[in-house]
Amino acid sequence: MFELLKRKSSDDRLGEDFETEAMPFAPDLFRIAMYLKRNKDAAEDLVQETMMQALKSFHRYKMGTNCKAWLTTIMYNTHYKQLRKQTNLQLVADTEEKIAQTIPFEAPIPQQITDEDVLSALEEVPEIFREIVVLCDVEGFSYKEISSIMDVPIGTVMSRLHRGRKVLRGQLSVYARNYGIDGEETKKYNEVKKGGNSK
Amino acid sequence: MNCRDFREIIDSYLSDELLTETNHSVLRHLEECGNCRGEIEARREIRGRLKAAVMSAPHYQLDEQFASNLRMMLTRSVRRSNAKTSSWISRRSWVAVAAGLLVVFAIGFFVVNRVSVGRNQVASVTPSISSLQRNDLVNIALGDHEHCAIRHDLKDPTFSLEKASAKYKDLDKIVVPSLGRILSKYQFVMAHGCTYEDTHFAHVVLKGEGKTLSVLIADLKDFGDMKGEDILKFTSTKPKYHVAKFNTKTHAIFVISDMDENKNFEALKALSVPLKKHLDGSDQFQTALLSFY
Repeated sequence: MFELLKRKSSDDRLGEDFETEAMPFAPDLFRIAMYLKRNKDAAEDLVQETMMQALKSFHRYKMGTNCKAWLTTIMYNTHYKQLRKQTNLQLVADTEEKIAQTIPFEAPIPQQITDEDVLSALEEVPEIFREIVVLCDVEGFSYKEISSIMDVPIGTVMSRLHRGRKVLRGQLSVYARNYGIDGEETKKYNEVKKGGNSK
Repeated sequence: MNCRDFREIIDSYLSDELLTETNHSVLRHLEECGNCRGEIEARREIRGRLKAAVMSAPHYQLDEQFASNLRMMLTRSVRRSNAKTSSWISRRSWVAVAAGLLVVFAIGFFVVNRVSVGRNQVASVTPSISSLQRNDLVNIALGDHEHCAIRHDLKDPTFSLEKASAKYKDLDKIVVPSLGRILSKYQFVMAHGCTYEDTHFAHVVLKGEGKTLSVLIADLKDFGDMKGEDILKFTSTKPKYHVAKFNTKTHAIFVISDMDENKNFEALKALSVPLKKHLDGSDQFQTALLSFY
């Protein structure tokens, strides 16, 4: 009798815990899904599938640990599974190397640059770098958490972050130039870009 | 540490990912070097601006309607899981019967209680979103509209209104003329009893102007906690339907369509008094509907 009662109460608690622990992260998950899918409908589908998976596996979640990181890991696994179904994943190593050769110099961010400019600059960052920059600098995940979420070595996380941030700064300097702010760093960036293009 | 080394690890410093010793070296270098202090401020600012831009961008905001639908779906999922638990308890109780008369009484009492509670049990699963209890039936009605009136792919066969319930007999003769006054271009398509997600509905379908309208009626005896003459409006996103709902004392009535929201609600209003009278034998509902406006 006691065991039966206990079972019911455990199921009930699971639902309640999921509501309080996981549901508040739905807006964060949607934002991350948008980075991954670039499309509202696809992002909503991904959030929905992630939440369903999370609910099924919620008994495995350890209370008190980072629930957002746990949910994001499930989201990435689901996303990768969907990608595998759609198409064979392309190797990114070549792209990564090519981009690494054209990394611009650092440039400061001028005040005149708007939020729209920042978002546009982010869009210009190649996807493999952008998602890590966003996970770290926007979503606040640690390198270790990102490594676990994306299932890549921590060294890869660090190098992609380094490159992604550099590209972002470079892109921001292009926006700065459009505002007529042509500082020393921006000039350097432009020179490098010109040199890269002439090759 | 020189400036070159510093620039390499500056972002890790800002992410609080450095070892304590390295952190100390960074701080010592920052005390000495004005250029690097400027650089670290610039990078900190980029992060702040990036985070603020993403967080406030409208297209990165979760749609409220989607969030609400997601909650409904998850609640239903928890409910199904509990239903499984319930059948598990049933099986266990028979084992207990064999064990002894005392245990039979104890477990029998427990099982009877659980069965009699039925769907009401769900309320205890997610008390913090208890309003979804109502929405849950809305979701089932939406599914019935989609699969019965639109896709025609219901798993279970339909049956006559009379077979569904004596109260539903000739329901179409009330619904169709009542709607005819405001939806003159709509034509009656079908009326029957149908089942979706183990819930029985009386279902009347009309079509016109390229749109489909369902009137769905469910007996509230299995949804005791949903009683109360509440009037609600919902919109589903995928696919987009407008839902208007009210309860009589004994039944939930839904109007679901791809018409615009106001027209859909007008249809509900047109049905409210005659259906209330037919199902409950009263016209008290009119007062509640008027107060809703």
